[in-house]
Amino acid sequence: MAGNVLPQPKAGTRLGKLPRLIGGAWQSLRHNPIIIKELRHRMRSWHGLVDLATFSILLSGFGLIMYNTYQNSNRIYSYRSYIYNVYTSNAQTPRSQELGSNYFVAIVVAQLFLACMLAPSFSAPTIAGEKERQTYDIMLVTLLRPRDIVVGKLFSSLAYLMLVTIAGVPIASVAFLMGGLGPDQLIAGVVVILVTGLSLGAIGIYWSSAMNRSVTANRNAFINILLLYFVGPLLIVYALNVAFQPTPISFQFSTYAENNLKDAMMWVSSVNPMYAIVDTNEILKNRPGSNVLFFGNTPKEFLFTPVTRFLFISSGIIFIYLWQAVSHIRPLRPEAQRMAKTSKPAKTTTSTEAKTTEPLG
Amino acid sequence: METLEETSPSQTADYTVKADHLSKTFGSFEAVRDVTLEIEPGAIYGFIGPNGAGKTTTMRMLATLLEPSDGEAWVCGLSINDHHQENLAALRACIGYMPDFIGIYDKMTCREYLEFFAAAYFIEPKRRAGLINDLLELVDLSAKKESYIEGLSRGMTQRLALARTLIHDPKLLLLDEPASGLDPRARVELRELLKELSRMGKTIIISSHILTELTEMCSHVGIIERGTLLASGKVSDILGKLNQHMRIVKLRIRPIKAEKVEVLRGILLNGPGVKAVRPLDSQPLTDWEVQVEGNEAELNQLLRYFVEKNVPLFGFAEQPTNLEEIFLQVTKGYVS
Repeated sequence: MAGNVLPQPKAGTRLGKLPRLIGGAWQSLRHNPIIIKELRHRMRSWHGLVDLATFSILLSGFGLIMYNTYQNSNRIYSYRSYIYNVYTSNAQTPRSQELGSNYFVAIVVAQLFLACMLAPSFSAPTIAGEKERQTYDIMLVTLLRPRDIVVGKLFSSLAYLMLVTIAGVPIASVAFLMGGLGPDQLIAGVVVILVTGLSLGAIGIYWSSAMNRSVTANRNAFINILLLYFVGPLLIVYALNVAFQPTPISFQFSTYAENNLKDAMMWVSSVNPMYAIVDTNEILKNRPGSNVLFFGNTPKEFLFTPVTRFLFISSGIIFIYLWQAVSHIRPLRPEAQRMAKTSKPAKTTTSTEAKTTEPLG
Repeated sequence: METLEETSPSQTADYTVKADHLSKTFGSFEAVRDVTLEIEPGAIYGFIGPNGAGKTTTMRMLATLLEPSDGEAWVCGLSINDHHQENLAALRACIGYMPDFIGIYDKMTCREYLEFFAAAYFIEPKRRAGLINDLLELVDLSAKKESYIEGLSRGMTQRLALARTLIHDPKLLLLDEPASGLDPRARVELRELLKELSRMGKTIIISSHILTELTEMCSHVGIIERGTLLASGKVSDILGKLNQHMRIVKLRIRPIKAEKVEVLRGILLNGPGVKAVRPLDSQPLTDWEVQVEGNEAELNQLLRYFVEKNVPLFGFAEQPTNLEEIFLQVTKGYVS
């Protein structure tokens, strides 16, 4: 073994009881030079700062429009309340709270839209870009494992998205002034944006590992996202609606069956983060006792809110796509491991069976 | 084509690289077929072959970037077919691989580039700065430490890539066409650098299809064509073996009358072991090249024969064979 090299960190050795997978991912993050390299590259360019400023200004503008909409709407409401002699002295009226909550949802949905655009476009060119620059091979022959490469590329491409998301938190927090927004909702909003970024980034990384060109990886990632998050759920929900719609001549659904169908449709719809945020907001407004994670006072079929379901589904998506990406960038296939089991060590071979080349004999 | 290598039981020699019937197929195309070779520690092994002969594929298999379809190879005693993480890590720690195209990162200085790879090889942070300084000095790029890579010349980029290849102090360097695209000065500098690395005990496998590039530095050579290794071993051994088969002798003869040229040609052709004769110049015909099959004793007999036949000889010299001739003769099948 060459003298310069430290032994590789072993996954999970320091983290004791944590699952090996999480431990491995943590170690990949801690010892990952790719993250530093990529962030240095991104932030060294003035584009990073300009883009961040542009996103913040656009989001603030959108927030301002929403706030004005709220003001106008509230003025009308105040006028109506004056006419109907409904006295409201508190600034955080039920109407104000509703609009505050709507404002927050609108900002989060705008940020989710931004995440849908940014996450794949940042992550899809990462590994494919290495192939285009022809730096892929020299990265593969280092001691970095495929897992390290995938985690490094994912987090470095999403770090910028995290920055954009955090920059958007003060804009979303304006909703606190209007009321109708709990800290749990704000946290849930940020978490949904970040998890959306992670899952879309994972899809981008997968296509990046599978394709040789950034343009192709980008295109495939966007088509994949469109099908998985928008078109797919829409079609499935539509099909479920058509297939199980009770009609006078068909059997009538029992409440239990109907709840199960609604539950199934909610699971499918919850793939989409925008639906998850909007619907959870509605649940919080209309179902007392509910919080961002669980329904309150509802049949047992409805345990989890769309946000919770979204988090479950996204975890699965992230895991599957990252796992596939790791398999893609592993140059040596598992079949060879079977060969390795039957192969003999070099020292034994040289002493007993090895053959030597006699050139030009 | 029939391969040139003969096999015999090996002794206990410890090889940096040992390949045993290594093969690689892409679909129905056989890129590498039954490559068997051994490379001793400290050797500079020139891997020669035309474009598409299988050099890069063989090197990529040794670098663990491609899985062999068949056969086995060991680098520093570690099997390239054992894909367990510990084995792969140990294997990659032994190998410094430089592909034929030097990919570089934008907006990165030479120091940052080497720092990134030092981190990718898990070199202790406190050792990195000193190591990078030493490597940049070795490849004569100390002055460019804080320069952006995209501003370097092709030769400098190549030297930086070599420094990157050395960052983890590997025992084996796999250099795929390292001199391609370099100007003559950069080639000379690279050659000197590789010789220096060889003196430092590194085993180097260097591929090229430009033979003059390798002539001066290689201690060992492997000739590959259409995926088949035609010859492999020490340059001196190959030359010796080749010379047993075919030697080129240059004759210098006193100018003779034109009508006697054919008589002379006949005498030369009738010499023991002579296979072909050709004049090297026009009138006056003084320089001749004779292809002789045989060893030193047969050359001695030939000289005696010429003297006995009163050939007006005043020059008789065996032509030294270089890699170019080895390559041409091996690939023509002269010695198969």
